[in-house]
Amino acid sequence: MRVLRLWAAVTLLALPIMAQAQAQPQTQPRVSVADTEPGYRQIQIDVAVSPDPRVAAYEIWFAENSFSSTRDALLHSRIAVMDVDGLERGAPGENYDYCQVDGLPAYLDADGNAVIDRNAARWSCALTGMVPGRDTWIAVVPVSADGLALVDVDGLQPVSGRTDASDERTPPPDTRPVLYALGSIILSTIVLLVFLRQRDARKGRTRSRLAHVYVAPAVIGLITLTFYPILYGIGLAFTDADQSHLGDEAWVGLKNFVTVFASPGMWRVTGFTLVWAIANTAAHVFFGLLLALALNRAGLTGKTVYRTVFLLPWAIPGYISVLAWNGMLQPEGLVNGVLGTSIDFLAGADSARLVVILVNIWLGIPFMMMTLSGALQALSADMFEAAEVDGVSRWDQFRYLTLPNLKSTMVPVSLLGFIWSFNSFNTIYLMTRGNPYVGFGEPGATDILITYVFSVAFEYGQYGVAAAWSVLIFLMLVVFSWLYLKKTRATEASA
Amino acid sequence: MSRPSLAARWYVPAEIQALRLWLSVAVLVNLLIMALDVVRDGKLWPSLLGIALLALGRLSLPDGQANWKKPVAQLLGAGGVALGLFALAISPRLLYDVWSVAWLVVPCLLLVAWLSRPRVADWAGGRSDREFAERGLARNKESMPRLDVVALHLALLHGLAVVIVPVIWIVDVAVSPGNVLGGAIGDAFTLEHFTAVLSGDSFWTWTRNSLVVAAGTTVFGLALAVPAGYAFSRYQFSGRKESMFLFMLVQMFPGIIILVPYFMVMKTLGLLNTSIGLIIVYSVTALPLGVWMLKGFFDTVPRALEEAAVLDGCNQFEVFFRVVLPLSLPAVAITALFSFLAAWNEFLLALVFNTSNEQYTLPVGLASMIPATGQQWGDFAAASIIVSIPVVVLFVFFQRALIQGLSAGSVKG
Amino acid sequence: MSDVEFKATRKVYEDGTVGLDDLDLRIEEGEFLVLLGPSGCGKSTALRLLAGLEDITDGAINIGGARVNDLPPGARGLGMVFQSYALYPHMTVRENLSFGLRRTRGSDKVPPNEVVARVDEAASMLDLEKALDKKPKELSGGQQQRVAIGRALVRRPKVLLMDEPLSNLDAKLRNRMRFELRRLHEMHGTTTLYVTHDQIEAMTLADRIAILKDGRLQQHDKPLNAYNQPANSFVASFLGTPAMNLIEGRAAHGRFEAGELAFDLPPHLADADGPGFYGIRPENTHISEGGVPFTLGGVEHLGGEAIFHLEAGGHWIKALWRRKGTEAVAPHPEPGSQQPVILTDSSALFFKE
Repeated sequence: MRVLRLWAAVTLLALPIMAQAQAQPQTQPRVSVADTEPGYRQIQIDVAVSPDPRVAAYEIWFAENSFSSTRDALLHSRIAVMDVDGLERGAPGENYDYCQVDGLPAYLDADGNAVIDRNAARWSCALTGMVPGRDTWIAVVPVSADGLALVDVDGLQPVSGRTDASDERTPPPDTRPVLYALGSIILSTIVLLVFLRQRDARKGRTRSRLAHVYVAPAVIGLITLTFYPILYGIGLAFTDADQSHLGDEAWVGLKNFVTVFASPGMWRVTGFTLVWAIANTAAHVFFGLLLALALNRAGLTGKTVYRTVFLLPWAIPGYISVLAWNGMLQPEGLVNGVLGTSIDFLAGADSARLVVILVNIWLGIPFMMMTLSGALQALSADMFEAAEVDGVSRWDQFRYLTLPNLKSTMVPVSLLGFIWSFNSFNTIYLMTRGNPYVGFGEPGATDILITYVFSVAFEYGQYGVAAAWSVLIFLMLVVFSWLYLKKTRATEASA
Repeated sequence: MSRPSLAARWYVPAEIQALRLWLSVAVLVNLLIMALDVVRDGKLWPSLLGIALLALGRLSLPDGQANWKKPVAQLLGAGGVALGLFALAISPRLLYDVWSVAWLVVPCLLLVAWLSRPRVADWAGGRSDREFAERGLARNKESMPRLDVVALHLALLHGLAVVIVPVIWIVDVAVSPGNVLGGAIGDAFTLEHFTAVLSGDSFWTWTRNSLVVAAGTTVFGLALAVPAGYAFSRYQFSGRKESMFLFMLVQMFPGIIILVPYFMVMKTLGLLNTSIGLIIVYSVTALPLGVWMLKGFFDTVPRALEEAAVLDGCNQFEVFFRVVLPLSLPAVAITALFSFLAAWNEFLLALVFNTSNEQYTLPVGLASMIPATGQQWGDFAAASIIVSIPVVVLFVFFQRALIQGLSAGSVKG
Repeated sequence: MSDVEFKATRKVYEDGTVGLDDLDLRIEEGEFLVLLGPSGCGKSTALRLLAGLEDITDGAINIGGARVNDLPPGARGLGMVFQSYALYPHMTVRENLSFGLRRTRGSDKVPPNEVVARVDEAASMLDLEKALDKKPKELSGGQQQRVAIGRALVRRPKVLLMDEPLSNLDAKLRNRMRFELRRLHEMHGTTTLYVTHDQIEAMTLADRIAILKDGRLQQHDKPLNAYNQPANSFVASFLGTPAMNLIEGRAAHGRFEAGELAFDLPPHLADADGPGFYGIRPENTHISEGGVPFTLGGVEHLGGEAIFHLEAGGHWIKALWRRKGTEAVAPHPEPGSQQPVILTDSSALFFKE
């Protein structure tokens, strides 16, 4: 009888517990963000969990805004849950995503990744790769062996964390060398100007007494803040400057350039940059010329209206237009609405590349249109009348008279356009950030050289390598410009 | 008459001339439509058939000699019309479908209809007597300009649509509730996004930053550029040619080279995340162009005025401030406007230098509304409109002067 | 080469201004006709209508008997020399000359060897052989003009049109080119329509001249006839330098009265009656005994000539003195002195308008 009562009591007590454990999904792990900042770009989370045999791993999801569904967040990492027999604990601070389980360093699996004991009740990890200075929302989702979430993925309640830790593993960079350099440059420029002024005074040019004074601020500003950084930048390419040790970079010779040439995807990104720039320039010139010709027609009603509207892509701030196009190309955006589809144009590599080029074409046409319009108006009307009396057809007039005479304008303008497209950062950054993703450290599918260099410098923090890339880009542009001008001079001479 | 008259040799009916061009253009446009159709649902055949009909129709346009061309062309045209109407019937009949079918049906319809006109039919049948040709030429003189104008406006309207529709769409998103991107245009109206943006702190912070930076750039940049431009324009001094070359050379460097060193210099000096840092960088970046524009303008002020002032007893300084500067005020204003707009719209440097929300300028702030996830399209659209309107108005108002200023600078360069 | 006929040709512009008012004019085959008149008289309009660069409002234009109103310019078989030459700046002289010929198509196509032959022919005729491979900007003004003429002539046009071709040249070159143009015309003999405001060009170049004023034809005649027998006072004052003396007054009973000035009309004008203009050329006006008293206002000595400015009754006239033979010095009367002036001889004219 007593055994029966005991058994009933135990069952009665165990029932709710078991029911809770089995009838409903496990409750969400309780996540809290630690106050301490473990390091630059790191946020530390503490997670309290109820051990559950179904849990095979914990997924850590994060986003820049609060979210309730994993659809609106990104997966940061996945930590496996397993038996830890035969595994060894890691040492504190040994690897990036340093984790502790129940207060001790976590066990590491064969690949050196942290794992969580099956029976752990508390674990914490330092999440890396967090963007400083911004709130980040984090949620932890337990998943089963099949990869299915064990909590309601649409009912998440993430917590927010933030890291403002500055990049200071070393003492603050020494400002003195830079100040010395700037100071000496300014002083030497002033000395140069004074010297020139004296030279003029001796030569007796009194009319221009104040000239050097007038020119001084601009020249000093230019040399200090443009030439010096350029030379500094070139110098950086030969050091191992990195975000982790700013201020004591060491000379490494051509190592960065070797890295550049050996980078995976280097040829791919260069190739795409060339394709991008050439396609853009050709389309800009073609459509710009078409529009300029159309608007040049005498007596066209509504010409000013048309012209004003066609200026809009230039007048509207570029970043706004690009972001708007970004929205229009979303699966629920305008383009899909018109076509009646729901394609994510920015998701696939080829479609993203095409779309990004088309948007940049849209942006650049007005400038070309205005320039060519001015050049068209400068053509003498007499010449066309002479051709008309001579019986030359309208198409021949365009081909043999208009085009050759536009060449003198089109050549420098198209070169400028090419260089502008080549270095056009906003469009790609704001449309895709260079994605679709290809590989770690590699340029994305829509990266061009300048956006890739940006990520090397400001996302991976490798300033030296980025500087090497910059030098190479510059050399490429110089060579291209030289070849282009040479070729067009040659054809001009024979025309 | 063994040889046709002069008039007959030169007479081609306006309709035929127009069709020659329009059918070719229609083929190209239909190629584009075919590409879009493939993207849409992979169906190639209707567009391909349509293109074939149009191309063949173009090739079999009559040439003034009695032959097989006219009936064949008309048949092809009729085929095209039928195909187009059929395709329209089996399509979901969105606006896009109507437009794309129109580009097949309308040219084919014109082909059939115009070839049936008596005058054209006569010509296609080989009629070439002088009176006929002369009357035809007279009629051409009236018809051709009208046809040209129609075609021109049609083409321009297409371009207009490509430019204007994004603007209309943004406005629609700005006044639609929620962050919904889809939905028909004009189906809902709410001012919630405008209220949200204008009552939030961020927007005003960003605006304040942008104003400070742009105004600072303008003032500081002009302070540097105006005297320099004047000196280059008026004075011959040692180092003039070299300095001008310097300014030109600097313009050629792509910004990316300077970006990393700027960043490091600014970081070392502690000027990151400040407005002053941006002002300094912007002013110097805009310097060469500003100096060129101003030099170009100063060159147009006649020296005689300055010489008269000197004869009146002014020293060099007074000549500059009291005679030249007031005359160049419009030019200085345009350069100022240019600098202001350039600083107001600049994105990359602001992104790199100012990384905390407190220091964001408008471009970076607006871009932060559209991160990888959780995009606030409605608020972004509202903010975009608020930011864009003054910029666009200023630009449109001063477009001619801005372009003149640009070309004055670049032509000399 | 063909003849040209303007039949009641009329041109009215969109804003209502009348460019040409019922022009009836015939240019014979091979003739060199000069359209002369002040700016705005319609001469350039007539040329452009003939060329087909502008549309006729009313009337007809025939070339070689065929109506060309609606023919496009290229179909009319014309060659045109523009005031600004309108050379193709990016092409060499050779290419400029051959461009139109090379662009011919179909039944009008000129074969390449024929093109070369014609270009060489034009180059030698116009002394351009050494310039064939240069670009227009490397040529002098005179050479550019010759290229323009050559370009028009290589087409073997039915009619050659010239729109004030000499006005961009300096005076000395202009004189030389006048002679050249006349010589060229004798060589190629194409019917030519030449437009100018310079009456010296008209007098020296034209087989016949047509003078226009405000869109209306004033006189169409041989140059000397127009000079000696102008149809009205406008023509009379337009031709000749210095311009003919015209005194406005009244003729009655063999006498001419213009306010305080009065004198007897010459015999051939004895029947003149009513208000009008009395005209006599300065070269036919002399300071001589027995003349009408005038006050000398001033003298302009030009070396071989002298122009005396004389006034009577508020009317000013000029008398032209020309050196004849060994007379070394012109008479030097005192300004302000009274001089007798003979202004009636058989060349005098009386115009009603």
